[in-house]
Amino acid sequence: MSQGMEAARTGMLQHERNLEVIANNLANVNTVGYKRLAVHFRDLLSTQKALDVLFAGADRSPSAGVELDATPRIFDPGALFTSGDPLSMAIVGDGFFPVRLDATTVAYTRDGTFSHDVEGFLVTTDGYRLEPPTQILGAVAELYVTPEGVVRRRGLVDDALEDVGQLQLALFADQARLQSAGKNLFVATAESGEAQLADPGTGAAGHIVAGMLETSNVNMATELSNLIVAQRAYQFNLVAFQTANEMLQQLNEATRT
Amino acid sequence: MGRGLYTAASAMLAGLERQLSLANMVANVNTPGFKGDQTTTRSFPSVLAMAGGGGAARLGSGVLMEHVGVDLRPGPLQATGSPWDMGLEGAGFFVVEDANGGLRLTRDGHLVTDTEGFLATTSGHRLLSQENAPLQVGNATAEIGRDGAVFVEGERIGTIRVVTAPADGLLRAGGSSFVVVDAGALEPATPEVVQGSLEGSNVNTTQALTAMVSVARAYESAQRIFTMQNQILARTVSEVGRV
Repeated sequence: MSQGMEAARTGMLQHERNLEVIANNLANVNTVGYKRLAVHFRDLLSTQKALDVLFAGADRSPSAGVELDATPRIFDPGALFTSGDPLSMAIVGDGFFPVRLDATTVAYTRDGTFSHDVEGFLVTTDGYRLEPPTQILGAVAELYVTPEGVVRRRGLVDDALEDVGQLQLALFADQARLQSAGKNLFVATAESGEAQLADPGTGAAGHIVAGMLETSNVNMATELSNLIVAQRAYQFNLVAFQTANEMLQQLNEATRT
Repeated sequence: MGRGLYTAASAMLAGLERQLSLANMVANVNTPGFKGDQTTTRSFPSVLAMAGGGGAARLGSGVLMEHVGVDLRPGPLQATGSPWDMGLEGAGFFVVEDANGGLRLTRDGHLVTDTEGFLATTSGHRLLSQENAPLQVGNATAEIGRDGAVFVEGERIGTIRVVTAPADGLLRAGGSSFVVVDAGALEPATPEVVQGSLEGSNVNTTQALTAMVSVARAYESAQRIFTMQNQILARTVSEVGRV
């Protein structure tokens, strides 16, 4: 294969991957607390001269084209919308809700769609309990969650206010390096640093807004324009491939007598 | 004998090379900080005359593609929403150091922290400060000012080095980076860093695609001439040579 064809081939392949990322973002345009993915391309081009400078004496061949080398997750905030459910919570700030997956693993989410399980514990839609566990017992007339994360109930019988729990938010040194675990959950990695738990409030972790949820930070208009750009880029590379193909065909014809 | 054959062949070779350069540019229409090629063709005789003295010029005919250098025009700055993306406004390049200690230049400001907490490109090349030292931010997110000053938790740890280099002294080294032919030709430039954005590719697709069509057509013509010359030679051998 000619190098021109190879360059066009990588262009087509990598823009196909770009389309996959955009499709994934668009599929999650209504997913509460979803954080969009971006793509990063880098060129593969290296000339023989540059290789001679870099690897003097070593035998390396020049390469061509492009690669999609990273899909960084972008954590800019989504808009808030009213859900009407007092157990819905949105975070205004950089924090995450910690949820316990099993005895040893805690995951983190921005999706504050909570409800209570049969034992009265606050759980995510997938049934994972909030960490620290918060239990609401008995008949409840009203339930509040303050911006500082205090869960307060008003009993049906005695009409008295009672604090039943204190929510905590997790903050990371570098949230962009969190690893996605599916179901809107993230797990900490060595690069993101350990979670630092803090009470909601005035700190960088932010405060809680009860009764609201955070929308996906996918911007439809941006994604659709990215989609057009990626499609066009694919087409352009296809044209480049066809041109290279045509030229090689002519080369074959030239040697025919 | 057969000089026309070589002339046509040189045009075809130059066409293939030109096509490769254009295909590379088209493949990188979405590559941050990518800079296109500036190419030209020049006629063969002058090349030979320069290379081998006046005598050689008589032999030469044909054409040669030449890389004049890198097209240094800026690409559009695009907001990415990530604090790890540094768009470079104005002229110049970031200076990075590869694993062997070699200097490279790049305008792709998509940074990561490597295993030891140093600011690096996704190719693993560490970003250098004006003191030529790598910048260690650890696990924290760095704040980078417009003047290239890097702050970690409010404390200044250095300033990003930005240099300009002559367009004809840059060699493509992959990973959106360049090596320089002559490190002495680097001139310090004033950093104009925009955190949260990346510079898009400066490839103009319309230009690249129209150029590719014209290259393909020129190649076709050269191929016709090559075939014609070949037929003439074949006829010469089979008919003129007959006793």
